[in-house]
Amino acid sequence: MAPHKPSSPLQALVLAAPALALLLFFFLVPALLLGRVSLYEGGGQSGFGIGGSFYKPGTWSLHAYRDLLTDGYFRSILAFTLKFCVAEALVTVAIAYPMAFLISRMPGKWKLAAVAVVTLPKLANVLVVIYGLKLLMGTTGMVNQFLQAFGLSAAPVDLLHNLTGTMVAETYLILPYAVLILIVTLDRIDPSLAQAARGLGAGPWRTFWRVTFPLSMPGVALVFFLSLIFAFGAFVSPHLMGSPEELTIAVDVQKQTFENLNWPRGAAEAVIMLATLIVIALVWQALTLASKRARRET
Amino acid sequence: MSAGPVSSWMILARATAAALLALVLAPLVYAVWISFSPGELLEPPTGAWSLRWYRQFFENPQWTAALRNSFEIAVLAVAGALVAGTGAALAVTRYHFRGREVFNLAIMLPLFVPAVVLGMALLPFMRALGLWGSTFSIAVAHSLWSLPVVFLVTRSALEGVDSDLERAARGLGAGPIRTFLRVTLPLIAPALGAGAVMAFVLSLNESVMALFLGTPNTETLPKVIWPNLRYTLSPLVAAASGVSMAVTVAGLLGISRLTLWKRR
Repeated sequence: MAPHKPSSPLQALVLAAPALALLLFFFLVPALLLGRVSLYEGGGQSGFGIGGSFYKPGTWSLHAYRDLLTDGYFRSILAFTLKFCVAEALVTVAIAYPMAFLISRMPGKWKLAAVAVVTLPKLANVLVVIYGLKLLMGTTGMVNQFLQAFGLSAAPVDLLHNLTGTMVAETYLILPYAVLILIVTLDRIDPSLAQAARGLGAGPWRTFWRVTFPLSMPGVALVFFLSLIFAFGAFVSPHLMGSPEELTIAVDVQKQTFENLNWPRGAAEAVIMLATLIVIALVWQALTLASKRARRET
Repeated sequence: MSAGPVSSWMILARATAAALLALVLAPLVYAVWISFSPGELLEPPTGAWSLRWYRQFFENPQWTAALRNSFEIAVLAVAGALVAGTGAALAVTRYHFRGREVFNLAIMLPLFVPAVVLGMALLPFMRALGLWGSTFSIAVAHSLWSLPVVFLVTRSALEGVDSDLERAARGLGAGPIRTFLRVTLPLIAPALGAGAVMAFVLSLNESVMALFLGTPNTETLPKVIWPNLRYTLSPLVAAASGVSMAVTVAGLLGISRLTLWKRR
């Protein structure tokens, strides 16, 4: 890259200043304040926060955390969120991989168009995706009409406000990242390796499972972990496509904050979310380091 | 390997790919299609198409105010993300400094923090500053959100700029600012344009932080859509979907123009 890089710390600092200000003042400080708010005593119950009583200023207490840890309600939310994000990550990989594989084998122009199609739902308004899904998946929607027309079901199937609806919607929201990462992964694999396997007599299936798939494993692992992280923070799809059964922590943060007006509890839940994400990231880091070391030793 | 089975495999593969891509697009296309429905019911228009829901949308002060707020916030968010992202990309690609790697990673962090956590963190902070419910508070949150995107796009453009050109300009006596404005900026302009459009679209379509930080005075389009999705599926949401998709697709076409221009 750039062969000469001036080391003028002052100029670099000036250039980086706006980003630093944004990150420190509107990211780090609020994150620290989040921790502080979680340690206030709840001041809720006093009339929709009119007196500004979302919490009791000046107090220090572990109330919010103690409530959360002893509360069966929160434990069931946490358990559901964890199960949900693992299931969602598996589903996403299972759908994204064949899609990325097919797209990566498309001829140039078609491939570009396919990538644009895959990216669109990510850039589009999430709520438009949800709205479309609600129309299509309603009891009189196209999906049910299709199921009945082909005799797959006699009566309309409930697809909304349950786990199915939530999973479908969340998959739509995460899929673009997954497919794009896997396309890049598959494109980077040297095509001559698969050709060599074919030349040595392996069939297409065997070539795929013995050569292409193992080489794409790092991308698959990355997609799995990213999907896990995104689905762990799922808010829009469980909120709009789920029932009270599909309550994730993110949905409960919003409920505690805006319905129960108990900011310390909402903040404590957000802190627990952050801590869990950090644990997931550390596990990911440890696994990548271990696999690198293993590869170097062989 | 014989030609017969391979080509039928190819046809099957292409058909599967087409079906999957159609499924990806289905909800977006259906929502926009239904927005042209002439009737009271949410049925896709088959014969006559109508703009009645769009007329109602643009005659309704709540929806038009939301659209205006969304645009205002998006413009501010783009300005913030562009200044911060470009500056950071220049610092990282053109200078050596301590903590460069950490800085590189820290900028990406907002991508991985759930929107709800960011919203929940910014809420008490903005309230303490007396900024809860201001256009500014939502715009800052959106700037933070699109900072990684603008940074990545600009950084890769800057890495593609031949540094000999910059050195030549400096050698001929141009100062660093003049070199940037006359040499570097024109070369990375398409990337900046693409980053700006992405930031604009991301802000316009962001709903979670707008939900946390917005008040009835600063409702964005997604915030007004939100309750309508929970309880009733009003056709006005379809019109709102059409409007937001129109802006999004126009932006994407703009980006593809910009990147093709770069290639030429």
